[in-house]
Amino acid sequence: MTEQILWRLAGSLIWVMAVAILLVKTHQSARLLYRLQALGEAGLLAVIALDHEPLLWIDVIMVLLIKEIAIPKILGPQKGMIARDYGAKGTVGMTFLLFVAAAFTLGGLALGQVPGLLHPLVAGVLLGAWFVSFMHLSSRYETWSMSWALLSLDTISGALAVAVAGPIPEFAGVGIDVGALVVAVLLALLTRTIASTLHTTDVRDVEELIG
Amino acid sequence: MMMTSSLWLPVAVLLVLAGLAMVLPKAFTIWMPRIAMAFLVASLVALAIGQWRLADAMSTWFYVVVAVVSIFALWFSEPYVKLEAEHLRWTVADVKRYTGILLIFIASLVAVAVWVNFFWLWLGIETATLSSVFLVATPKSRGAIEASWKYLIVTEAGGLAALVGMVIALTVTGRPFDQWNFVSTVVFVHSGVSGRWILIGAYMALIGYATKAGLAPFHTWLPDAHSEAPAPVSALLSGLKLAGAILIVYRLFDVLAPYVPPSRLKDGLIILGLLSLVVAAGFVAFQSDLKRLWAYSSIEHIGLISLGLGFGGIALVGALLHIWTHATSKTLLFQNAGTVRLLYHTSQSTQGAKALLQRTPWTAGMLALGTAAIVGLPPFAPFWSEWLILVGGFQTASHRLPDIIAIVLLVIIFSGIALRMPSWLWVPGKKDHLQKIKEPWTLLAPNLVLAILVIGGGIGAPFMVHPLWHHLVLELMKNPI
Repeated sequence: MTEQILWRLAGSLIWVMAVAILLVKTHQSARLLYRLQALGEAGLLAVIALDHEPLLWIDVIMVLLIKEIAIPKILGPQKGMIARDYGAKGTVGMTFLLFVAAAFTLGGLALGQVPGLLHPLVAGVLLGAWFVSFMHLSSRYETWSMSWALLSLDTISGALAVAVAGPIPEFAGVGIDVGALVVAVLLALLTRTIASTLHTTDVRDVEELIG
Repeated sequence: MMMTSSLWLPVAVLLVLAGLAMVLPKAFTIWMPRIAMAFLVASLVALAIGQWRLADAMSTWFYVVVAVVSIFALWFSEPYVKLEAEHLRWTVADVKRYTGILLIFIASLVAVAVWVNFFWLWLGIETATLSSVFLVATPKSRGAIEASWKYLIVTEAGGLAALVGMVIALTVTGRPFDQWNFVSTVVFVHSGVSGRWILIGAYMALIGYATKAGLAPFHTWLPDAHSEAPAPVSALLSGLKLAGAILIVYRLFDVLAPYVPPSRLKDGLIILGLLSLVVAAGFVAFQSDLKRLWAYSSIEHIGLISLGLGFGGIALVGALLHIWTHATSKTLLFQNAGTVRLLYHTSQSTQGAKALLQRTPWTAGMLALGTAAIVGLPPFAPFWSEWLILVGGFQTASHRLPDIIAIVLLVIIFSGIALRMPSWLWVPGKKDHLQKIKEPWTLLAPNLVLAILVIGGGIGAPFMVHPLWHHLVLELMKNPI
């Protein structure tokens, strides 16, 4: 029972942060929200590790080191650029995004109820978060926002693949998460390269969507 | 067959060479691609004399394509990068980084060809994507950076969808992780298997890998990435990476076929294949950049391969053959388009890349040859592979309508390319732009050998490697999907 509650808490934290990163991405908040989302992933992995797969502690440690420290640090030194290119300005835009996020979340929850998965509710929450991140990817065009969308999607995918899909060997779980972590680090590095080369986070030189 | 050391070895060797290319002094860097070429030739010899065996005939076939095209790309890359580095003022570190990442890219393509476990295959195609993202950005121009960014966003979102879909579909079947491969013939049946989730997972994987393969409507990254990347990278992307991604999907569907109706899996491949032909038909006639033209042509051909895999039967054999014929012809075209970009400082017909036959006859001649091959004119090899795909479509009543639509779209694409090519090849520009340009033999040599392969080897390949081809055909004909 306690395990189920912890699963749901961790899954919910990942979902809440996926929605929050969609809405707010100022220099400080984006990194903080991403760290909290990674904490959700680490929590999910820790529950499985505690329960029956001790090898997953390796994942927990790596997630904490890479997502709590390394990636926010890689994406750290662009404060001025972010302040210039990004700003959450309109309440109407935010409300619209919240409604769409709610619709996608309901879709994820409904999908989770299709028989066949071990943890339908957590799977549904994570699928909802996954759809929200996909929507985030397609609704904005500046690299700063899309980077966080992709990093959020990476976290959700790693959690979904390892924790929800079904029983897989520990080393496979570790492998999947290591793969997702490597992708995340490379994404962060490329984002920084692009920002430092273009001196902007807006690849299309258009004013980003307000909200 | 498990992931044995013989399957790791070629990838490991290429990765070591990549590492050395990045850390050793510049004088040694240049030798690493040469050693890689020698290694790839040696591996082909080992395959030919039976000293090295891969999981099955399809793996062997794709490895042969990967090795041959990679050898030509590495050969062309050396003089190309030397000139590009002078033109764009690359530093020594830039050259070393490019060489190292190019070798990582080739190592990952080799992994996609030889590995058998779906998780490792996913890692292989991910490494291919991420390394090629950095290669696309190499010129550091605004266009190249934007292209690499778009490439990263679209294909990484797809990559994560592919991971989740693959994990869901395979775990729901009840297969243990060590059986997550396409060589296991064991069908795991237990009472709780959910066909719905397998289908959901399969379609998530299809969408994910379709973004990697550049199939429409997930192709948006492809024209930019192909046109901005250095020419050898464009060739490898178009000829190998797109085909590698679609082959992984086919392998996955093959494994999932006992659990869900195969026709529902195949329909996805046919729909995406047709959509890709529609996109290519709609855009190919309006391109003024030579590399962008071939990028849209790549969407067309990966669509054709997808159609062949979806149709099954003899079309499947055509799709496999088309991977070879497209890869060799398109490598010839991209590399010569790269030569045009180097010599004319543009590959746009509107900005001076005109009257090529008069000014750079060797390069233009090879472009004309490659064009004749890629549009499917007989007796070039793509004609035969396209023929097999289209004939295969007519063998099943339910595939005839998509097949007819495909034929109409192919005619439109043929007309589009036929209309566009004269604006590069012989339509004159301003009079003061008509002087001849010296074509360096270092750039011509690899392309001339490749042109000979396209003329002779392309059409003769199935006969030259007859035993392998025979096994491949037998395997494909008994395939469940």
